[in-house]
Amino acid sequence: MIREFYLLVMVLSLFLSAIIAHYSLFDRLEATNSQLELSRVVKMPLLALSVGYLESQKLFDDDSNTIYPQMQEIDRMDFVYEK
Amino acid sequence: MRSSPFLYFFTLQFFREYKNHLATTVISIALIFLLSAVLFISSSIKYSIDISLGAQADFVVERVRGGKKVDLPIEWIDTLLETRGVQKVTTRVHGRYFFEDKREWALIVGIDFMDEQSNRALEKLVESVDLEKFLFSSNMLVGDGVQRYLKEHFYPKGYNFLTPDGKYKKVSIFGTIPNSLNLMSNNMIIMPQELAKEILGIKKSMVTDLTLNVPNDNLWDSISDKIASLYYDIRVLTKREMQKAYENMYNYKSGVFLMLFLITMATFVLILYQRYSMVFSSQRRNIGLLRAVGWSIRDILKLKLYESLMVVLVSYVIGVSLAYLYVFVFDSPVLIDMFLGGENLDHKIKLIPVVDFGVLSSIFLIYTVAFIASVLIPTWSIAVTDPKEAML
Amino acid sequence: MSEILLNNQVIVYLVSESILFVLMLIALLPTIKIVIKWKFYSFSQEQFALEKRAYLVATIVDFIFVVKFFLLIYFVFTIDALSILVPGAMCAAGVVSANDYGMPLLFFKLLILFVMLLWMTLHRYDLEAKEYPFMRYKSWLFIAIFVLVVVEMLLEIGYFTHIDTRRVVSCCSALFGQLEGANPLPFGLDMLKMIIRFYLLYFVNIVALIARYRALTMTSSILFLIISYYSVVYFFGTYVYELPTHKCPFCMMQKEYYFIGYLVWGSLFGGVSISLVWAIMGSLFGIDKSIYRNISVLFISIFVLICTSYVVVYYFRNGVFL
Repeated sequence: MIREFYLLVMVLSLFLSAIIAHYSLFDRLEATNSQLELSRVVKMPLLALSVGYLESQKLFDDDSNTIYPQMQEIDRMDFVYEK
Repeated sequence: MRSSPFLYFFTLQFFREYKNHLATTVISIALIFLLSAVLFISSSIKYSIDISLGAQADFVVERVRGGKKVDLPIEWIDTLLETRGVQKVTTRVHGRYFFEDKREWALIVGIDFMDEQSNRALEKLVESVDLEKFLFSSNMLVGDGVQRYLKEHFYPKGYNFLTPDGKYKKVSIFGTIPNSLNLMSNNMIIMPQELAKEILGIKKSMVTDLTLNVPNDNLWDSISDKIASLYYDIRVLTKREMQKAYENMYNYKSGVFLMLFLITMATFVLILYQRYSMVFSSQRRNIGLLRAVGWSIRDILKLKLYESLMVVLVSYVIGVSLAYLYVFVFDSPVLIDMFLGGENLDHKIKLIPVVDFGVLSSIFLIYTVAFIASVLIPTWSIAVTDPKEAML
Repeated sequence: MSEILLNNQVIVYLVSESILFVLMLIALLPTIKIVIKWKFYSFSQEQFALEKRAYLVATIVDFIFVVKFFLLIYFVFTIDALSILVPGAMCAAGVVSANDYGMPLLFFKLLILFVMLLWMTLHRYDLEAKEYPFMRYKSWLFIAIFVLVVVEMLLEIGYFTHIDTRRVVSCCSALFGQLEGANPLPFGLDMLKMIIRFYLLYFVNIVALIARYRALTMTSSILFLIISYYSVVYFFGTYVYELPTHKCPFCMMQKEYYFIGYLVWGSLFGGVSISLVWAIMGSLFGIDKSIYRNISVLFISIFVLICTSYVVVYYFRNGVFL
């Protein structure tokens, strides 16, 4: 039939099968388990993240203090940014 | 396929005139590659965060003064434990240690040798570790990035930490955290709590913050309020809040990227519209012939839309595959810093491959809808050409 | 700024919907012209131009139908994913009920798909006939679709900008489950009676379709739709979740239940809407094609089969009913 067509289909299926192979051969259990263990040890979420940008921290949460509604708001995002 | 002359003709025609589609396919591949690389990275990091948040305690209690986090006294543990429903309060000691140049830093995490659960996890994590020996002398476990940094600066076996009192504290490297965990541990130094306190300048009676568990999650809200009213400078973070904050942060980052991408996409749509109008008008004779041979307007529309769909599909598959290779096999060299920040030590981070339906369908939808919508009108305007007119 | 609007899927969704809306706008102008000026037997330049424009409208509607169909699935998937951001929500049910726009939006989406299906059927027969006999009806129908899409668009914007991420919403078990003794079922039925009605209506529906009773098909289909909704939520759903207290139309679309919800609701909606299209086409325009009836019978049967098999499999595994 049409040679180019076969060629294209072969290239595409090569790509797809490479990905599927990589995806299914990856040892997911091992990777998730070791991450789980490490976060049990240090009791903190991901730590290689240093987010140095000046992202507006008030962007998301304007929760006011539940006990003292008049008190100035405390930023609740800074644990993410690891001050 | 032989059974359908239409498809056969379509395939022949498509490859005969592949030059018309080459440029759009290449640009499409580039665009899809970029978008899917960013989305892959953000979804994989989100996945990892979910894992590590899953192992977190339900609450984190901090002391905040003047908007800044300060150390809190250990006695808080007893007050917290008096609250009904609270279980298993543990201490955390952590902080950043800046190396001599005051620019590069590592995160020092102190672990409590009394904490059975974390000890067991540590044993599993680093097989060669001899806990007794590790916890009762000045030793540390370092992450991959820290290890490489220290080695480059001629500290292959240990490091002399400068405490805030001006004294040097020699700590030897006991082992390294496996580098498959670099996403979490690249900048990390794990050491016994007492040692960590000394290096970070935390008083013996203080800790950085506390975590606690509340097994009954119906009580979360009321206990959160109760704890918050125990001290004037206390701050209580719930696990759910953290989850939300992380989710938001990654949505925000990839969302900003997506917005920029949409602007690019809008430009691309305009180019596509122009280009296909041009390409198609050069095919007027062809179309006229087909019409004269007896093709209906619908058939021509079908032929042309199949062509666009083919371009979209081919570039989608290639673009997404390349992005997958780039992110999960070649560890996304540049783009990952967008998500991790540029302040980290030099890192080689392996992400866990995550390909979920949401990401794939988002990429496909945004691209296909925009692409096909932009070629619809050129396609139609060529398909309704009169055969007689076209032959002139 | 609402954090909902930063979610990638919401962005993608809203942009796709806006593109479709622009396409609808492009198609609206020729349609209005057709409504005003369509004269099939005229040989004027204008008439020829209109005939050409009609192709544009048809292509656009075809395209929009396909995309809207996928967008509906995507929409459900998206609000399911949003449940992490909305406090109290465990699945899409909570997020949909986060404000008053949610439920009407979902209803409008289904309605628009149904009306588009009607349009496309009409269009097919229009092309088969030589004189475009349905052109005007089609155009009016398109204008109706356009109005519906405008309302949908407004609802969508209202919905996504008014999800309050600090207000706690009810989760599905609070919305559908704990009713404190009140009977949630329609027409004052109890569970057994409703299940009997469910199978009875299925039977009637199939017979009506095979025997070509149009009026009966219409009434039984609509009744079947209503009864099926309640049966799945309150009876069959509990077998999907294998938990007598879990009553939710949305949770079954999650990964834990192998996305079976998409198939269940898809086959129900597909079957009922196609049989309705058949009945309406027949009684209004005298068009009768058996393929519609066959597809409809097939879909409805698949739906009933899935529901029943969950109950049967559960019974054989555990030896009891829930």
